[in-house]
Amino acid sequence: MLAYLAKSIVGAVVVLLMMSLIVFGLQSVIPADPARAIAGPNAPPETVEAVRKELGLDDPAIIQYGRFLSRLAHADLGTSVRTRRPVSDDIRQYLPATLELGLASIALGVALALVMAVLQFLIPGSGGIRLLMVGVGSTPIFLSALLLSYFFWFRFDWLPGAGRLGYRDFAGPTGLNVIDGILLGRPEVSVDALRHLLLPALALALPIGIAVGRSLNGALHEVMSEPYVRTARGKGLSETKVLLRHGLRNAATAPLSMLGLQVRLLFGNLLIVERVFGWPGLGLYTVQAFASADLPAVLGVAIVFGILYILVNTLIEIGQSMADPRINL
Amino acid sequence: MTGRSSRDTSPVRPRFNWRDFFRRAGWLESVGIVGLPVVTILAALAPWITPFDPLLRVAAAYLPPSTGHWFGTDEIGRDLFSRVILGIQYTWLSGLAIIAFTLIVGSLVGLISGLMGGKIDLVIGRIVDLFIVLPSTLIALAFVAAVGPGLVNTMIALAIFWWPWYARISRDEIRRLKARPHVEAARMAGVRGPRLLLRYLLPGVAPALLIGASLDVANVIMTLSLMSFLGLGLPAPAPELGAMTSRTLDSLTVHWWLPILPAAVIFLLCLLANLAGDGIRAALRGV
Amino acid sequence: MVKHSHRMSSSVTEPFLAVRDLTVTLSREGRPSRVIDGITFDMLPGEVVALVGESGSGKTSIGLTLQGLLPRDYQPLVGGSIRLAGIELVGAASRTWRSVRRRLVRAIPQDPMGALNPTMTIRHQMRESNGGSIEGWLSRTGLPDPGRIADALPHRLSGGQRQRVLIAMAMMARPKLLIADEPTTALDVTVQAQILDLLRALTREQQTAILFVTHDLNVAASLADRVLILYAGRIVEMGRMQDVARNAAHPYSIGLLAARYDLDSDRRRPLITLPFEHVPPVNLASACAYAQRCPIAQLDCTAIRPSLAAASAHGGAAACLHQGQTRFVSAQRVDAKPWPAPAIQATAALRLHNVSKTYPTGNRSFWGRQSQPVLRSVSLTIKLGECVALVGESGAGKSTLLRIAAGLVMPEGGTVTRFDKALPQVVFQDPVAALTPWLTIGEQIGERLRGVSRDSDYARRRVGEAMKLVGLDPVLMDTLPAEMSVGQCQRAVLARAVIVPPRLLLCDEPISAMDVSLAATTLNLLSDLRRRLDMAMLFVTHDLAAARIIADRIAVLKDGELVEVADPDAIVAAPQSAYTRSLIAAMPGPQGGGRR
Repeated sequence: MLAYLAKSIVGAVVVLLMMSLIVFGLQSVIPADPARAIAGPNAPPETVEAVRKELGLDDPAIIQYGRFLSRLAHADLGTSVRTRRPVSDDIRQYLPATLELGLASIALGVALALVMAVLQFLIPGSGGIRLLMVGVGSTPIFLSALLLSYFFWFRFDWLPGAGRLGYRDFAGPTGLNVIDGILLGRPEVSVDALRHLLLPALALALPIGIAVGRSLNGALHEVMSEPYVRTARGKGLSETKVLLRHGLRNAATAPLSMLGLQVRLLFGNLLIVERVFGWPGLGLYTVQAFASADLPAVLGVAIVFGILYILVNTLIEIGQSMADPRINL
Repeated sequence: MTGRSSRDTSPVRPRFNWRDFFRRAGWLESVGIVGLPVVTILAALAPWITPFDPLLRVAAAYLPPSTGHWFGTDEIGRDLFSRVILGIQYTWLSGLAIIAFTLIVGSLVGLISGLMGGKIDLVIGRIVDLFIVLPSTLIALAFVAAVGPGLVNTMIALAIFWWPWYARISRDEIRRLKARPHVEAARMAGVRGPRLLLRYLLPGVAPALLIGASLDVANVIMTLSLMSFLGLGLPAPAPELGAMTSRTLDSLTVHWWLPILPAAVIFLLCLLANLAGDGIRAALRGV
Repeated sequence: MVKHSHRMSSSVTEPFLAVRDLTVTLSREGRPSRVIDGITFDMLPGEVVALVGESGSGKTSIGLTLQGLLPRDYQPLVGGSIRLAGIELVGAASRTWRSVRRRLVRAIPQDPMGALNPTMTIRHQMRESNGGSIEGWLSRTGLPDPGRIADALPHRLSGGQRQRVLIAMAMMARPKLLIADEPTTALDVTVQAQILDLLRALTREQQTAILFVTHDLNVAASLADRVLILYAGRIVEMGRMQDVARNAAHPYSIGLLAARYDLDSDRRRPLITLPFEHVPPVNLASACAYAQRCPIAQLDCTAIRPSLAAASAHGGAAACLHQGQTRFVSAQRVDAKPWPAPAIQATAALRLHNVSKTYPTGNRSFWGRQSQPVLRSVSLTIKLGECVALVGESGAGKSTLLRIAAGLVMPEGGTVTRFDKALPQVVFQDPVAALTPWLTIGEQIGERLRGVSRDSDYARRRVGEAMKLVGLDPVLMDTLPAEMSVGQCQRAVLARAVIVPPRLLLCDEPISAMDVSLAATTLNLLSDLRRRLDMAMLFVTHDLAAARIIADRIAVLKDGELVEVADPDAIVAAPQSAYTRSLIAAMPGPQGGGRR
């Protein structure tokens, strides 16, 4: 376990270094000249040159990279061109909303996957069910987000389809409104937050549920024809017991890997869904940053998402070793 | 059903034929497999089969779908159906190009890694792993945001993050095959070098790569449309499906066909590709 | 134990299992095939019945049908009747089946490695069977330290330990019927004998009837009271074990009995075999299934389906129209001419000197991988034209030694010297896996021809000659391996090995996965080829009887060390090491109960 921790920390550092290198590389290919941007469009060349010297832009690349790394280590991600605030402050402000949405959609996705896989296993799939699964899995995220918001919000007005909360000026210790509502003894806030959460989380959960569910279903099919499942059936256990006790756990490894993959895609999908539902999180922030060519903001978010992704991967590996004790961490 | 001991009287499996292939794939999936080349031909012929000029005003603005204009017209009176057809060309052909390119690069790297073994395999393996752990969609987005939107840049960004998968598949398959008795037997029979690779290894690696690639077509199209939805695809006047949806998102409640129909076409393309991928996987499993 | 009368006619005990006209149809890839075709038999309480047949005969399917566990993917269709303790099972509701499996019928599977849930401790898995203390049952199967075993995960246990756990798991439910499907095939011989003893003792104690499914008549004979012989999904003969073993009435049983070999078989001449080539299907509904292979078949055999009738030779029954002629089948025994003596020269074809090798174990510590020796300083010489058999149990290092001899693996210490510059040839364990699926067998056999265009007429003629040499029809040159039977694949592998005869042929367990008759055929073919082509041979096997038949010398390997190298007959008559003695003692013999 200790060796595993050491290994995963080293791995995370390598990945982060790699990402920082990419980010640094991208910063230096921007066509715009930061020195000219700071000095102003009408400044004489000498002033631009002086600013450049002051910023250290004419130092060798390796020194600039070192400086960049040390700024990163101090959580200094630069200043946003659009909001004119430090990117780290912006991220701190928008991260909780994205975390809330992301965690909710992962939870919802896993629940969907379990229900779907087990149902499909107990009731063998017909052409119709297969078509439905592939169909939902083929829906581009913006189409499903659009349809959900069009029907459930605009057309029938069952659920709110914009923003995070109907209450203004609510702020809690964690920033996750559902939890804060409970912590501060205001359950009506939690309920309202949940209602706001439902549509965007569902849009994000659908692809997760389909992909993980299909993977789980495939794994179940394989596992349920293993000899040890025959042994279990031979003891006269009911099919449900066989499935729950012997099937699911042994089938967990591949769908967990698939969940990791889906979380990777979730980071991209968050941008779309937050844009469609006006969810004030990092995704929307990034979309706006794209629109105004705010590179420091985009890169800052990329690094934060990278760290989150490494965390998720580590959790998934731990989960896999818990499901299958033969996997040594 | 037979046990460990082998049966002696009947052949293990009959020779490959297309009827068995499609039966194993399933009827629904067979539609996808047949659809793939059809869509590709349509996409290649797109400029000649559009009923109207996709870039010019041909009718009044905001006409709803009708027999004259199947998908209606957009905000300046261009025929949406013609624009969607051209959009299919961009999306589909660039998707296939990305798959083809990454498939070649990735499997070459994987082959080298798997064949050489030892230190080289270790180093390439680490690099591949590293690429696979990066949150690729986001970095691809950041890449395009930094170097500027455009078809070529988008394709480069996607290709950079897609090849490691094929490298991993082909590397793992090569390692698996190399340990199989029939490859060992070929080596003991004196088969070496390119002949061993071309006749004994590659045909065994190909099914896994084909399955991976066919399942990836939909993923690439989805990612491409996602990028164009975020404004990171082709510049404005070009008819790109994701961008068409994105630009007209706010008129969803008034002119529903403008955002919905292009998105629906992306859906159909992905559906076809996914069905084909599933079918090919089911039919080739165990080959 | 109360000894029951085994004659069905005079039985006073009610059969508790009555199978009547059972048929099972399974569909694979949309093609239905009848795997069990009208089977009728009874079993008495506490009786041990052996169900003997080659692979594909449907014997495993019968076991699964009795548990209601035929794989759903094959869309099983079951007809006829199975009455167990008064309950009709064909068409029974799944609840009935579950209660039957809980109380009445249990099974011990063929492969103990896969039959335990890898993510669940033994205790949790055993708890799912009702009855008794878990530790108590584990210790009754002879497992030391049952507490530790109960809390272990299956992958920490050896094959023999797992099989004992599975037996305990089955027996603790106190079933009336135990289905044992080749329970020892996957185990080493010494463990095999212990498991058979254990089964015998436990079932006698609890009055459990056993349906013992096996392809090995020797194993069946050592355990069973009665035997059912199965061919192509039909019972061709049934009767008391001793009766059938001595006076078989059906030509197939006679062939099967003649084809088995043991430590007493005549090793100077070819083994008796069953004709085994691929046979075209006949209209089985109105024919004897064995007619195509039967040496005494007559015209009516392909027109009338024989039913089980009282056997003329013993008190059981046989399904043959011409029972009167079957004694002529046994007359063929003495026909075979003895082998010529092999031309063994003084020069070594292969010299292994102090060869050692270690493999990394699974445990990776922080400082690197631990490793475990598989071979410790092994020295062995094979002379030109000589056949040496390497015998040992799993994990002894036999295959590693063969791979070192082949040059596929480099030894860590010691030297390997081969007489011939050219590569030796290897025959692997699984002939189907040893052929590339997408190349025709002609292409693969021709691969060893150097300096000739592989498509030329000359090359095709050479390939055809090699195929004829191993008894394969050259017409099959353009077929793919998947279109051939296992026996044909085995011949194709041999044809590839001998198209340019090597000085040294290495065989890695070439018969371990085969039915008796196919194994005997393969042994004959190898014996013939090595003499005719003057090849030296290293024959790796876990089967001492096969080693004795084929080899000029036997080398016994245990834990990476050679414990004995000697002449085959000398090794069997007067084994020098304790390990060899235990191997010989564990051989199941036709007399029943091994050679102790």
